[in-house]
Amino acid sequence: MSNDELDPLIRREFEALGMNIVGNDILADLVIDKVRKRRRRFWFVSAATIFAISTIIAIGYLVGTNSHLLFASNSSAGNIILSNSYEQSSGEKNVLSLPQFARINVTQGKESSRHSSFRFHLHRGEVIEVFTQSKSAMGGVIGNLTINYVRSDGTTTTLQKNPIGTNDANNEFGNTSETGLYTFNFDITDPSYEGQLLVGFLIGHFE
Amino acid sequence: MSGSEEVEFSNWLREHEAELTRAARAICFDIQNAPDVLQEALADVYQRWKKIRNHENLVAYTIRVMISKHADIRRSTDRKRSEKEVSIELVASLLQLTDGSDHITERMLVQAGIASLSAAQRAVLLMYYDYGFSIKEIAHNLALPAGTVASHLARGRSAVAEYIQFSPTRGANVLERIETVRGLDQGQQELSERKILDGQGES
Repeated sequence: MSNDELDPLIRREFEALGMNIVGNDILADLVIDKVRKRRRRFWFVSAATIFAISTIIAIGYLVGTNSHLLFASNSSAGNIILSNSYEQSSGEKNVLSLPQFARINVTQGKESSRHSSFRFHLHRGEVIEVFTQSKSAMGGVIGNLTINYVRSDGTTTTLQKNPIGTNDANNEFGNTSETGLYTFNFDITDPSYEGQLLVGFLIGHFE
Repeated sequence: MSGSEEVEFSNWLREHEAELTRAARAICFDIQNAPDVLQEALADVYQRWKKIRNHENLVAYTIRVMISKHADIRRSTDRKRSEKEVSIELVASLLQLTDGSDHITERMLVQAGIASLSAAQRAVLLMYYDYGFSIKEIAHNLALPAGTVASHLARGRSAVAEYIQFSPTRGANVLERIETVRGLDQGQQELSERKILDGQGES
């Protein structure tokens, strides 16, 4: 069939599309209203997203830096990684609060990696639960955890000493008769031990 | 958006409403979808009104937006059907439906041919047949290469020609022709089935 025959047929159908068009007086208002709603939704979603991101950043910042516990490590070997500190929960007495945790890499032949120290500022009546997990120990005792009180002149008094075994262990330290600095020293005495030592500190409070 | 811009947009819309409604109907070729597509496209136009208010052909711009919105709506509602194929079943039912009036039959067959095209192809036909634009002008307005416009136009004509061959006014023995096409389809199907069976026999 030639184009001359087809063209009038197609043209007729397109012309017919223009028939019976009833004007819609409120079409412009509908469109404007639709755009307003679309804008409002966009701003709401944007604001909610920004607020959520800001909140997450703020919480992360507060949790990461503003700690009641003054966390410090004396290890100069840089063998402690992934350590964080958290503020003590003030409203919940007798309930352990947010943890401090660290992963200590112990390397054979590197003496500095065998001694790690954590220093906290504790208030009187606070109690610390220390969790240890030696990832690669074969058996027996691999070292000690020594807890010292640090006086203002820098001298220390040993308050507690616990062995670090091959199994998961938790030791409680509640001898906080003085408000001040306390050090938690991990000393790996087993010369054959090499691997990771996971430690965690939880803080509680005596009524 | 300031009040003066709202008034400006409303005035422009009032002036071109009939033209745009017609274009929406042509692009959708579906009386139910056309108002939705038109509203969505106009919302996009209004959102960018500040930037595009001085566009050389705002109606053509809106038609481009409508083509894209039509594709979005079809995608979202999964209403896509096979295009560019003559539906023998559709032709048979149209002929049955319009039995006794050759004129109506022919019109419905032309409509079926146009409906089988894509939105962009229908937009080209609209501009060519209704607005009387040349291929070059359509290419400029729809931001398409002239070759593509010519191809869309040819495809539109051939789609209508494929359907119109079944029109009784063309002197066709419709039922015989439908049976022939069906027979061809069946023959092709049997041939491919036989090939598959032969292939299995050899292996």
